Amino acid sequence: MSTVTATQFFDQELPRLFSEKKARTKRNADVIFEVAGPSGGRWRVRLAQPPEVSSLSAHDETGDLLIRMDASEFSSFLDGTLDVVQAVDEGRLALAGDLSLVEELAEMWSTPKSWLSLRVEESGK
Amino acid sequence: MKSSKKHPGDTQLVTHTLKPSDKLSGKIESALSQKRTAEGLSEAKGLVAAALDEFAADPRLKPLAAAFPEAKGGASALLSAAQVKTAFKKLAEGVKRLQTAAQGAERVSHQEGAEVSAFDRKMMKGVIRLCGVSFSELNTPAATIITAGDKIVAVGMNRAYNPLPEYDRHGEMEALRALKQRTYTGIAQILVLHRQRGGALSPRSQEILKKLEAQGLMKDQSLGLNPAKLEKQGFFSAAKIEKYERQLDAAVKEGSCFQRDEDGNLHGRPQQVFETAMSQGTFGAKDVADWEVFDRLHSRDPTMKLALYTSLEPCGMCLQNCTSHGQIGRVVYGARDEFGGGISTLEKYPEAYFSMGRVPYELVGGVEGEKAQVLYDKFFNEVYPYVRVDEDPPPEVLKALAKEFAQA
Ligand SMILES: [Zn+2]
Repeated sequence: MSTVTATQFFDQELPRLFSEKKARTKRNADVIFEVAGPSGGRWRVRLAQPPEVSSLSAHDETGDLLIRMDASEFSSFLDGTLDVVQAVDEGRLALAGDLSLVEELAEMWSTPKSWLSLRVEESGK
Repeated sequence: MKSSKKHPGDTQLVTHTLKPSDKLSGKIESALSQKRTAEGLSEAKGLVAAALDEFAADPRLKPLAAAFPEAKGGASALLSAAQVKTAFKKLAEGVKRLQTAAQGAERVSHQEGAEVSAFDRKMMKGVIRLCGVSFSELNTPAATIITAGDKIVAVGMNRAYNPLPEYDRHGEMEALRALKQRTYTGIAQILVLHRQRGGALSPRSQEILKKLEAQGLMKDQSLGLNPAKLEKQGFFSAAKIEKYERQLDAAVKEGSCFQRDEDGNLHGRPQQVFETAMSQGTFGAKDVADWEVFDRLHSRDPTMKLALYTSLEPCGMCLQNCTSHGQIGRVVYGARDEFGGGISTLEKYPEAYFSMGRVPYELVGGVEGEKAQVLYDKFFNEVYPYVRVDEDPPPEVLKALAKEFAQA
C-alpha cells in the first residue's frame, strides 16, 4: 500500500514529475483536487504546456473538473486499488465536470522517447 | 552477460544489474563506450531512469533502483511517473464504468424494504422519536431530518394543525425551511465573526447585521461556527466575504429566508427542533455538518447530495418539493401512507428534468417500517377520525400514543 500522502503527492511528487517533463498534454483545463481529512487539502492541476500544480486555500477557485475524495481513500487511489464505483456510491469519492479530463490525467504521462525506441527493439526480439 | 570492459563504478553497476535484458544493457554499454564522458554517463542514467519509470513493478529492476537512487530523480522521489499514470488510469477506468452504469440506470427508483445502512436506521429511529414531540403538540406525528453524507444539516417537525392550521407546515417542508434559515444564519454569523476579527464590511452589511443581531441572530449557535477553522478553510477571504455580503443583502430584501415572530424577531423554532433532536440523542454536536457543507450546498456544488429521512411517506407536496430541490438525491421514509402519500407522483416525474442537472433520486420505503407502521396505524385509526371532523380526540388516547412514539 502506498504511504505517500496527498500533501506529499501534490506538493512534492507531482511538481517534481512535472519539472522532470514526465507529462505532456495538448489540453488546456483546470482540475481541482480536494482531499478531505488528515493530510488533505485543495490543489489545482493545470493541464497546460507544461502542466503545473498549485495549492489552493480559498473555495472560490473553480475548475473544469472537480475530483474530491476522503483522505482515507487516497492511498488506494495511488495504488490503483480504489473501487471507484463503490467509492462514488458511498460518497467517499466525487467527480463533477468534464470527465474526459480524467482520461487525460492518465494519458499525459508520455513514455520517454529514448525508452520507447528500446522497447520497440526488445519486442522485435 | 558480464561485461569485460572496464568502466567507472556506476557503469559496471548498471550493466551487471541489467543482466536479464541484454538489449538494454547493450544499448547502455554502447552509449557509454561511444561517449565515455560525463555526457555518456548522464545519457545512460536517463535510459535507466526511463526503464525504472516504465517497469517500476518489475522485480528485476528493484536492486538497480536501490543502488541507483538518482535515476529516480533523487533520493526524495517517492513515486514514478508510471505509478502516477497507473493511478489515474485506474481512476479513468472506474469513471468509464460509472458512466456506462449511469446510462442504463433508473433516474428515479423506488423500493420498499431495501437493505439500508445502520446510519439510515439511526436517522429513522430519530425521526420516529421526534414524532412524539410533534404529536404532543397536537399535530399529526411526523418529523424529518436532512443529512449530507453522515452529517446533519436540518431538522423539521410537523405542525400543520397547531398552533394554527397551515397546510405547508409538514415535517419535510419545515426541514427544508430550516435548512434555508440555517444557511443564511450561518452567512450572517460569519460576517459578524469577520467584523469581530477586525475585518471590514460595507455600511449596508453593518446596517443589516445590526438589525439581525437585535432580532436574535446570535442566539442560534447550533451551527457551532469556529473562527479558527473558518479562517483555515478560507471563509474569511475577501472573495468569500464579498459574496456573503451580497447574498445576505439579497436574502434580507427578499424577506423569505428567515422565519419571524410578530415582533419581527427571528423565530426560534428551527433552533428548538434541532436542539430537541439533540437532547433526544438522535445525534450529537460532532454529527452536525460544518460550514463547509452549507457553503457547498449554497454554491450549488453539483457533487453535493442530500438525504431526507422522514417518519411517514411524504405527501405529494413534500415529495415534489424534495424532487424540485435538486440536491436531495435520496428520500427514506418509515410508514406508508396509502391515502396521502405522493409516491405515484414521483414515479411519473418528467425525465427531461434530469437532463437539466438534477441529481438522480432514490426513494427508500419501509425503514424501521414495522415500528412506524404500528404507530401510524394507531394514529390513523384512533386519532385521525376525530381530527378529520374537527373534534378533540380523547386525551388519554393522545397521551398514550404520544408516549409510544417518544419511546420508539
Ligand atoms: Zn407533506
